[in-house]
Amino acid sequence: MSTQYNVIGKPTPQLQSLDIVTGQESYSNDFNLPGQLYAKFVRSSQPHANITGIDTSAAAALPGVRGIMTYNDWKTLFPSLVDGRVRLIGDDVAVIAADTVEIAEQAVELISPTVKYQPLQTYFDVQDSLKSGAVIIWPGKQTATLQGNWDFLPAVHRAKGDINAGFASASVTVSQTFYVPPQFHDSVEPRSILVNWDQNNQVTMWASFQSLGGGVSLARSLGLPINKVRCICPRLGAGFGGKGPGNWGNYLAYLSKNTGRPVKFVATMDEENVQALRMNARYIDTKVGTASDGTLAAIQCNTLLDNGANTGGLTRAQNSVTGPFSTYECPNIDVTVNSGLTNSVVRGAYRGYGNTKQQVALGTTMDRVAEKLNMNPMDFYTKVVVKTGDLVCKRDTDPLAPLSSCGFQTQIPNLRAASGWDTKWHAPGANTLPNGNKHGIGMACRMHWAAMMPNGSYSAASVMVESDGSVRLFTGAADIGGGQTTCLAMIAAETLGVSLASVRLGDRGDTATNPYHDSVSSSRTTYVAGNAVINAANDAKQQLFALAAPVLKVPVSDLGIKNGVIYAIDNSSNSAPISSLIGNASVGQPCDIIGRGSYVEQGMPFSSGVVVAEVEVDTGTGEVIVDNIWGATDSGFTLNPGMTELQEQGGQIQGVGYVLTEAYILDTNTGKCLTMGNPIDNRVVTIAPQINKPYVAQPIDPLGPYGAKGIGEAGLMGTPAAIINAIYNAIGVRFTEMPITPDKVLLALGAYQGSAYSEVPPKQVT
Amino acid sequence: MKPFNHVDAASVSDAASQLASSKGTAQVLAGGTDLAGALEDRILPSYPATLINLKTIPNLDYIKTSSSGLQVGALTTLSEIVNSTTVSGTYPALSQAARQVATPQIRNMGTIGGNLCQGVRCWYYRYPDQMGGRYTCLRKGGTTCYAASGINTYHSIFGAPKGCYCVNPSDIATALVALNASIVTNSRTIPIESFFDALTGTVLQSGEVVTEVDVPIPPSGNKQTFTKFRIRKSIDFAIASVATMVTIDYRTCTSARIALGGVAPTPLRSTAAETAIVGKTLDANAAAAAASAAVASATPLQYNAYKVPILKTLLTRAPTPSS
Repeated sequence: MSTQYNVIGKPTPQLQSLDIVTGQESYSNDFNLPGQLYAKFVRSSQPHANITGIDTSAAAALPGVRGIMTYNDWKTLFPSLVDGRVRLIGDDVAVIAADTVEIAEQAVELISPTVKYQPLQTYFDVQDSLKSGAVIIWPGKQTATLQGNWDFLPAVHRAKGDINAGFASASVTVSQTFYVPPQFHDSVEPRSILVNWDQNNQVTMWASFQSLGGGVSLARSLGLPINKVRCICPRLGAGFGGKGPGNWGNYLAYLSKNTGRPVKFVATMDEENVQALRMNARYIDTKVGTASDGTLAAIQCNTLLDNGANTGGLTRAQNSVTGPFSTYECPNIDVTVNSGLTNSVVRGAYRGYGNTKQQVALGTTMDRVAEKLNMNPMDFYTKVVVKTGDLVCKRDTDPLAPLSSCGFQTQIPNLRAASGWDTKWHAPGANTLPNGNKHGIGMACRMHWAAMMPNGSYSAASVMVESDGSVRLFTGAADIGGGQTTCLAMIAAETLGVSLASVRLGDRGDTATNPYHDSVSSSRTTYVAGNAVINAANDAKQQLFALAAPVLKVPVSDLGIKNGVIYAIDNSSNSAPISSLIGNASVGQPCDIIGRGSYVEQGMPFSSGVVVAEVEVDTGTGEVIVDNIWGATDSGFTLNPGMTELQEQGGQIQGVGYVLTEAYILDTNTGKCLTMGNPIDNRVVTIAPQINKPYVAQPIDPLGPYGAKGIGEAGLMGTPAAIINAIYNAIGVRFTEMPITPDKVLLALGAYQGSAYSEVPPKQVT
Repeated sequence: MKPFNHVDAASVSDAASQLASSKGTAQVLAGGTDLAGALEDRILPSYPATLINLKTIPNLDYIKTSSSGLQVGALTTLSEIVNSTTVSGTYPALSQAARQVATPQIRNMGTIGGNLCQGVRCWYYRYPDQMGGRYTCLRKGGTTCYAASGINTYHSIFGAPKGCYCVNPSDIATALVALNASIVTNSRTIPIESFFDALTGTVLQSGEVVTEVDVPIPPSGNKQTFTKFRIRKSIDFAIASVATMVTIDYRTCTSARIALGGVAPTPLRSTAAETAIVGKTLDANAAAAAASAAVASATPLQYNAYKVPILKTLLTRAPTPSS
């Protein structure tokens, strides 16, 4: 813990903790307006079809129905987004606004049977939809970066060195193919949207979105000036990447305009399940070559990405470069990512946006490499991971740049000792516990970015000092549960020289009063918003010093501030509280001070991590029991130690569910997702295994605020690969798909004849 | 959720007569933990016009003993069963089964009557209508069991006597089969082994309401077990479960009742497993013989053969009385 600072570096509860645990915190669904209508969607019953007709007359005649919009209206309003085709079961067909939810549901029931479809060939495996002659799922999409259609995104390719020469020189080569399924965020709060398009064409939207930037994009798509669209994103009941506006914001805004009433929509968990931008699925071929001493000679990674029925996906493909290029020190690397679409649940951002899956494939491949080299994985990783100054990059288009800081050097030895690795690690299958279970231990390293793009993303903040010395902080960063705004308030208090208690967050997540922040994503908020807050607080401080200098008769450069009192550095009794410098207009004082600051990402910090998992496998039932997880994260300077540890642990719990229990089951006869948004069939972990107190490496990062880095997403990475490697250590079986459920374990152990259901998409007949 | 009328029943006969006179448009409601989800997702083609609330019926929430054994009122919650020392002392299989149902919150709401009458968890059966349309399967009056040729990971490994491959999800039922219980309704007493139907769930007739569960006094010297395998120990339904009640004379098993849960459309009594151990020394060999006998008639589907070794493991591990 640092004594250098007054506020940061100390374990601090989230500022809204009391309100959260007592139910007083406001979420989107807590906002209501008089006279509001309730919206419900008509959803497609076909996985891939052109809509040829719809009859809304019976619904329109239903008392209490106030407005109906169909795909035909959307086609006219949003020709680049809607073309009258449905691409998955549950796609948007029409939306109704009515006096009550029940009336809206009744209207849905009246309309649904009238929708006429002309079915098209369906594709549930991206390997089939990418074949020549396949029906294009999203034809004719044109964007600034993409000409043509969404089905065939340009291949992402990034290479350095000479991959062929690298493998030719290698004395050990290992390859594997891994399949990762589309994980569902399963945020406890589904998306809720309340929108009011008033008679002055002012649009106000209360929404559980991760991005206030959504307000700007909403304004663009509605054709309104940005100042006519006010987007309010209160605290989120988690996000994990799944809380974006999609098309719903556009549809609901027009529904409000057409009806002249506020319109409210709360998604069901089923709707979230199919449209909340799940993690994309992908096949990942990895090949790694090393010299006989373990020095890496070549890493090749070919990925095929299934974006479901979603548009876009290029960024996810680009971000897939991170794992191979930034985790390991290797002279020859070659990464290729191809993408395609299928008629299944929408894919998009999920904690780690393109990197999470690659890290599973890489982390499990590296375990094979260590084994083939006959090396202890701890020794192997120590040899091959990157260090500060190595040239790394996030995306294919980013320049290779020196790694600004890295924690691997202390993380690996720390977890080696903490986990008791050297007494526990053994030959595969060699340790049977007294209870009959097989014991295993495994590890994985990871690297994840803590920024969006070098020289790209932007954040601004302002700090208002009131006449009594109290402070308001305005930031466009929403709080999605990770304590983002608490950290920003701590940075403001530290920089300005006031107590944390005197800082109040302004109207959190309101575009009308807060400056712009791109989005709370990419683990970037600490870095980019934190630097913007520093700049704003420094601006306010300089204005205060300018007021204090003539009063204290000391030059500005000789002033300091602590706990809201400005003092002469060489004589701290020569001082003036902030409240004595502002608020008295009769003596020419300003009535408040507003400091402004902004920040554009200057570079790309990364956060390293290591996870060790200890498991037992019950060979009688196929159950994998996670006994222990040790994690190490890298936060740079730790702004808030308690929250940093919780963030890492939360990610590990999510990783346990991802690798062992959460399943995405698609019935390819009908295109319906059988693990619909109910918590029984989609088995999110409810009780965590033993997650030990994480080790936090704190290499001061030159880019970050006070040397800090973001660690929001990284916690999910490492745990899946560490558990898969631990299972191998336990029973000598290497799994190449997830989740690893008892049916698959027992099959691998030869406990029965037959087959286990595999989430790898079954082959379509061509 | 689609609107419905909600009426409070004053008595069992009141509930029964309202149920009968509704001509199928009413349903009874106890804890509601199963029904609420089914209604929310509109899984059935029909939707009740009225829910008859049973919780207002006085004196239907009790755990009593008499010379004939244990009587549990239909409205007794699973938590009350878990917390009863009467149950845990003499009927531990029932106590352990209740303890392993769902979560504490659900056990606080869910009743023993409701648990026995709950719907199946088959993911085709439960698919929400609002998301592209429900599966109108065999169980809903259709002609197809979608699981038969679909993804049947959690379905029956002992066939489908009436064409539907779902499994009975009740842990309580499995324990009660081993305990040889009876189900009392407003019109009759039904032995537990005759209470379930492979397609309709139970044999309850229109206007018939479960009022009590009767468990006879177990034979002296008996030992009971209930073991359940599931993915998440915190909430999930059984992939397989086993309830046993055996008596031993010195080391020899003199009687046995063995019930299998989560593996067939109804809870199954395995007389094959019982026969394998009665008259035998109850040791690991006998347990293995019982396990093999129990699964000998299994006919797993494409994706659920793994349930066979799991069921065998549970039977093998059912603690022997000497242990």
